Amino acid sequence: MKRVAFVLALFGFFTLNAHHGAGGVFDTTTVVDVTGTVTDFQFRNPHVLIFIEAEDQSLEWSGELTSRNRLARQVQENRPQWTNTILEPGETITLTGNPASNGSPFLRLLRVAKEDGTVLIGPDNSPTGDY
Amino acid sequence: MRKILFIFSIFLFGCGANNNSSGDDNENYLRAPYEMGEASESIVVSPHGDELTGVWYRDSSAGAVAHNSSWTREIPNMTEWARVQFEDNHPTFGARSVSVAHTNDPVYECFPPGTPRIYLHPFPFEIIQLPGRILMIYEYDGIIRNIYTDGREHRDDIGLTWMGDSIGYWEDNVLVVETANMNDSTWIDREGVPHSDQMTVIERFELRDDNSLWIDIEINDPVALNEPWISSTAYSRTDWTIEEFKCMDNASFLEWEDQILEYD
Repeated sequence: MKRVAFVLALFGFFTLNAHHGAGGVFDTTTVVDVTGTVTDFQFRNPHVLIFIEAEDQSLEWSGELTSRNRLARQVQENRPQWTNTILEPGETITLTGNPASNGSPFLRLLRVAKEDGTVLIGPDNSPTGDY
Repeated sequence: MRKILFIFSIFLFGCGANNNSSGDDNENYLRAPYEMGEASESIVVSPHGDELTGVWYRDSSAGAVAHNSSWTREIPNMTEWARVQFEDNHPTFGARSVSVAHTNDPVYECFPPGTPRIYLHPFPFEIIQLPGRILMIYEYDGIIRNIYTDGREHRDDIGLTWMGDSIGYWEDNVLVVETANMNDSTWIDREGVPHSDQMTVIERFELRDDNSLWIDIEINDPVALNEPWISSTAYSRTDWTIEEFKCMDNASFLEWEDQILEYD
């Protein structure tokens, strides 16, 4: 299920993307949740990419995080370490992020969570407020 | 349309001697044995051995002047020559930022970022102190700089390079690195400040404590700057290893961003 919330206060609250600015490609005033099945996980530089088949849309969404190197070094208390196997095709996850400004199914990710509630990156609760 | 330039860089660097003993005698640091190759018999090393050796990552909480995209919050005092180019430069950071699709920042074509801009890219770098030279390995695109501390002068035999040629010496506990002979194809920062091939850079490396490295930066360019551009950056020691990060991966990644722009 896709839920959209307008969260103006989130401007710059959690910057995962150090490669370059959002540059208008992503709408940084909007945050959406998309739940689906992992179809591809690319643990790579300069940005880690996650592809999912959305549950209710038969639509492929993809999202970008920061670089593999930065994620691999990130030490997060009580959270799993990012490796090339932290996500596997077929598992259900929820991606939260800024959507593309043109409405296409691409996300600048702010949060990644597994079906059991394990948060891999981002705030404990979805910034959309209704996760 | 994006231009993609394939640059095949081969970094050839010898495995120099690693005998870095400095001894207790304060005079000994100036003359350490060089065990390999045909190098000179005595090579200047650090006064304190290899205290800079390690992997360092920027510490944005240490109070240094530089931020993630430029050396100061204000644009530097540029000459008219530089201002014309500045207006034509379209960076992806700062007040004049544009999208990657519209930038002409040379790093997006995988040209090396140059000295000192390399420090503004948010990746660690490793310092390896060797007799007669200091090796700096920057994770961003595997850039390598050799800082020669054996008393040699700047080169006059190979012309201009992307990262310049660097010589270093110590003023008490401060490693002073002077870099010259850089081409004018890079930007000084990530916000589009240009420079000429007359630019020289002075870096002053000082350990504030065992794990805190402070680097004062002074940029001089009689063609582009009306006065020296002064800044500083700070680093913390880490237990990381330098990993691979190649610019050409950016080129393949642009396909994903193109899909966004071209989505129908």
